[in-house]
Amino acid sequence: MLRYITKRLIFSIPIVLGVTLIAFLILYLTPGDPVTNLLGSRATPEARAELSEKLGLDQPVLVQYGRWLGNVLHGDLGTSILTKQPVSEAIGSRLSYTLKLTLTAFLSSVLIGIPVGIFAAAKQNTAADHISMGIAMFFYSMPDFWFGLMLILVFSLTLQWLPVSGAYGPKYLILPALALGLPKIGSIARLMRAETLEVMREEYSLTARAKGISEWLIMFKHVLRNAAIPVMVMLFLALPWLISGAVVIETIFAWPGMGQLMYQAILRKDFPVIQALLLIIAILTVLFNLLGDVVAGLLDPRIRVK
Amino acid sequence: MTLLEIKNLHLQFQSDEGLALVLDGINFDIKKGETLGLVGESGCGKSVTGLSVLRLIPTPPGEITEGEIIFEGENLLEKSAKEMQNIRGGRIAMIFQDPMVSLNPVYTIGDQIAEAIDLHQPKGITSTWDGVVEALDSVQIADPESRAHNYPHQFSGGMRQRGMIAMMLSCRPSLLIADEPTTALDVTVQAQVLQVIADLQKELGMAVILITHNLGVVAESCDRVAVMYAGTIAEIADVEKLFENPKHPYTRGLLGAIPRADRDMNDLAIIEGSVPNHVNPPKGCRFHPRCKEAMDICRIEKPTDVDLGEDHIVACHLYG
Amino acid sequence: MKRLKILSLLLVLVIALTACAPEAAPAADTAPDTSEEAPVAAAEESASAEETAPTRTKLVIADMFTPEILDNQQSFMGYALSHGLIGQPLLRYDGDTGVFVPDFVESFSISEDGKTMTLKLPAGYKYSNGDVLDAQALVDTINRYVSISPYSYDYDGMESVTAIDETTVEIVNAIGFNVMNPTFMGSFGAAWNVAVAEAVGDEAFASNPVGSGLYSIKTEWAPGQDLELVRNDNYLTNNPLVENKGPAYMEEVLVRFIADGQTRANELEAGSVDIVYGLPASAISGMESNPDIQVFKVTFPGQISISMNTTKAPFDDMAVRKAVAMAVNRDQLEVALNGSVSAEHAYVNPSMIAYTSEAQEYAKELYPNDTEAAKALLAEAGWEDTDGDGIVEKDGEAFTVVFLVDSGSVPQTDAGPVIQAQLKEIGIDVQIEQHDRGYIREAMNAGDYEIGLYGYIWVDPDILTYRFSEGMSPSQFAPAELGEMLDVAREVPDPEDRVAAYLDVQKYLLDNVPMIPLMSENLYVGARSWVKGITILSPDQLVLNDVTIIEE
Ligand SMILES: Nc1ncnc2c1ncn2[C@@H]1O[C@H](COP(=O)(O)OP(=O)(O)OP(=O)(O)O)[C@@H](O)[C@H]1O
Ligand code: SF4
Ligand SMILES: [Mg+2]
Repeated sequence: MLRYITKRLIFSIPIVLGVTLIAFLILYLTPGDPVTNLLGSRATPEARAELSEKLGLDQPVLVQYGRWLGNVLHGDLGTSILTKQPVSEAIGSRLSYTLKLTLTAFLSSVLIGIPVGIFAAAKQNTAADHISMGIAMFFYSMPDFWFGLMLILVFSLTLQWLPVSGAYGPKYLILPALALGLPKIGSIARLMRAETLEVMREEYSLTARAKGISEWLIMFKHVLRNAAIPVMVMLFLALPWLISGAVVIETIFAWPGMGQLMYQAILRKDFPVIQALLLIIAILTVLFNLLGDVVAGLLDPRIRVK
Repeated sequence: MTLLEIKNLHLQFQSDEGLALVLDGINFDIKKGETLGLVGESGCGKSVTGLSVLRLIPTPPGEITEGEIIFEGENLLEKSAKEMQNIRGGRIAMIFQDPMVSLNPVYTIGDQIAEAIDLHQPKGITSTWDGVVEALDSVQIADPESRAHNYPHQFSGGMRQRGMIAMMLSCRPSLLIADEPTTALDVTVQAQVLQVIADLQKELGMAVILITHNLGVVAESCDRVAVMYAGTIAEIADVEKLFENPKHPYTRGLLGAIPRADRDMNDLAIIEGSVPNHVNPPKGCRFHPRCKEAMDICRIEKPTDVDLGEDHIVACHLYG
Repeated sequence: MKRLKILSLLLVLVIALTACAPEAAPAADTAPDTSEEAPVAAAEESASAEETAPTRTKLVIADMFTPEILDNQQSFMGYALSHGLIGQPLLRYDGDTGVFVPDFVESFSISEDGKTMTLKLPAGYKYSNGDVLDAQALVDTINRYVSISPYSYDYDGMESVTAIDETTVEIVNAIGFNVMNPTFMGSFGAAWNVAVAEAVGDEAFASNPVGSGLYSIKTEWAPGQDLELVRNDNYLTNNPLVENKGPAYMEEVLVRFIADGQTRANELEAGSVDIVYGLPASAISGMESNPDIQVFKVTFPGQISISMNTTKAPFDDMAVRKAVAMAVNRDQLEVALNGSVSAEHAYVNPSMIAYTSEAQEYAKELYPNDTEAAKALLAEAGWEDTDGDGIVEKDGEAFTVVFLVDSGSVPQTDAGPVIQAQLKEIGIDVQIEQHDRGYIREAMNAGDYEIGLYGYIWVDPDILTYRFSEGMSPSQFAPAELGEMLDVAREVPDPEDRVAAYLDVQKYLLDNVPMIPLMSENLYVGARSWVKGITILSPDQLVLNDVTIIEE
């Protein structure tokens, strides 16, 4: 297992590097550089050249990439062109907010979506199943920003129970986490139901029944353990989303997380920030892919041996 | 002494095409320690008969609408869900055709056997673990101590089926329903698995319902045999009697088409015509469209069971 | 079993990680939950039961622009509200009279030749942190701007800046002060505490600068966070445009940066924010009829215009450009864009220095919205619809052009299709292409395009010098004649003479129409009715000196 993980990690290094290089090339080779965006309409060619030189943008792209990579290897993600903050600091201070939001949404959608999916599967084809899956389908098909706007309209403007936006305490977390989580509840519940039904149809479930095991135990011991495997893998693959998945919701709720940083960085071409974010997302994607496989292996002995 | 008696059992399934009467009033019984072969073409209702006994028919879409299943003097159809759980795996066990899919892939063989033992607490076992090892040993798995820690995928097909048998018989049931236990296995290991069942049957004194396509298996392993056709039982008799002197036109057709008894029924289109569907079955005798001896009455009236003596029962108007 | 343990370990780790994440920076007690504070203050005052008694001492503002940093001398960002609350402009511009008035300075004067400015500072004045803000401190701050600001060219032409005595600064500029004043009248040119910047370093100062504005930073700020400000008790002003010349009435201000327009509008409606800077056009009609809300409209200086490449066919032909100018219907644009823009006919708009309606009149007369006349002009230039497909042709070539639009500008992306339809009416087929602003600037400056929208925001008409000089002119239009006129206009000291000089420039431009003035962007500011005394001098100048909150 350990050897497998090490091997996978080593193989993923060129992938991450490739992603960052491509991102770098795209950033630098598409027209419109930070200088034009920063200096505005009165920028003289001299002022532009001066700023270009100051930011090191006058160097050939590959030289810049090499310099960037060198710095990254020394743990230096660079400095934001806009805020003059070290990029790691800029990301760090926002990451905690984004994680708080996305993890709340993620965990609660898992904690709600999975039981609902199991419940619907256990009550397959009954009214309870149809109703809960109808709701899940609705959650799943509406975009999160729609929920955001509706939740604000109902709970903030009409009922006045919860604040509209901001991040000043626990009650500020409720609406954005809900808006972000509801579509996820829908997709997780649907997936969990489908996987559970599939396992319930497997012959080993019949075997368990023929052994005299109670329905309850069959569900929780035999069925769920198997149905959990693809669901867990899916959830792990979705985890990089924790970092980047809340841009729209963060904007609607003025949540001071990564969303705004990412949005501003892209809008105003804050290259060092964009590069760092892409690097982090690439690493996380690779890591969580691996983690998903490891978890699948832990849950499924058939995979483990291979 | 009768262990199990099935009386006038009706089973129907709600399907897309309509209501399918899958078992149309079947009757048979089995004595303690006896082996009853249950044969018939694919889809005739062998498996659902076995599942009905354990009340494992998925409901909906299936429903037992009529009849009785008397086991050790009690009607199983009147048992509560809880009581049925005690009977399943404890007093009546069932094993299935494909050992590759009938064991849970994420638990070890030992765990799965232990689960049954813990549940039913059979007498004469000192500890769960001893029971597990003993059960594996009884199905001739070498090195049972360490093999118990293996997962199903680490077993070969034959071993898996033996593991399955070990699990199901670990609680010493008085009836085993074996639904084509060797069909999915290599020819070379089929005999071995059947032998394991026969040995344990002798040791535990249990009765076995052996569902199979293979008449050779029937000839070798069974005391009596019931021939099913499209949800009905055509004929029941002692093995020798049935092979020597089949009475039902369907049985006769079967045996006539298969000169050597070790052939599999499904290998041949034995009798012309196709198996009727259960939604709109032929009126009267369900076999009449394919029967060379069909009479007018056969198209109108369902034949009843006729006892020809010495436990030879046939359902055919020829003997009415 | 082992596997289960590892799994639960993972779970614990995840939970622990989240639990360890730093708490929300603004503590709960600073929440903009204004309703809780109000009754306390109200109770204190209830004895006197005076109707005009302020009921709250903390103001919450939602700003649409998130400043990247707060030190205006290092900032790239114009129109950052927060900069203007921390920094105190040297001067203000009174749009009604068209003259500059003092704010931080007690008085100022410009010599007859326009080249020397003398600033008289208030005696014994201090920065918000108590540091002395005398003539030398102001000289230091001006020098720091020249050396550190990306916009140091604001002070082009400056020959010297000298502290004559403790309260007098003299600046000599070879090109006069028309280019410097726009900086002096905003927080860019304000006094920022150089001593602190040197002590803590420019990087630290960038986020937590010290100025002499109405407010100072209360709790250390980091980019992306909301900004908590506290009243600067050292504050004094000489601004004639406000009544309260001392420290602000409101003790604290919380500036919340809310990028989403609808969210800002929602916050105002919910009453959890007192002032919203930047209401979306969609929210305005609903709010104007709400008695609890007051709405202010401010027009940005500068404009969005149609820029045409005058060096390349078909827009090298003046007749074609004039036809386009006549095809444009600005009233339609105003309606289509929900009032988020105001129609503009000339190059200097009403929010800019040296504005005159005379230029607007001249433009309207020259280029009335007249489709038939436009068609006739096109025909004259050889463009006629010979095959009846609705598109004009010349020498067998259809009049099809690519029209560049800044994908990041809402007014531009909204206006694109409207203009497309208007030009279609005179037989010009316009293909809209949206691009990043940088891309468009580069393409236009290089003359590598046909037609498109070009927007800029600046308060002084000197912006035209940039728009029509070699290498920076999107329309590739920079005749020497015009250059001379612009050079003169730039240095004219007398305000009235300047108006006249720029009227000439505008007429010249209108005659040649390299760019067609189209519209300027409006900023809508919303406030709860309980906020009294709001003054908005320009989109970046929310003046809070007289603001109080009196709830009914
Ligand atoms: N869950 C179910 N839903 C609907 N119909 C079913 C279901 N299970 C069995 N049947 C129907 O009942 C009939 C008998 O099926 P059964 O599985 O008992 O046949 P079988 O004799 O065991 O055949 P085979 O030799 O192929 O195993 C078939 O027509 C089948 O379609
Ligand atoms: S009852 Fe009639 S149709 Fe049926 S098997 Fe007997 S003879 Fe044939
Ligand atoms: Mg079967």
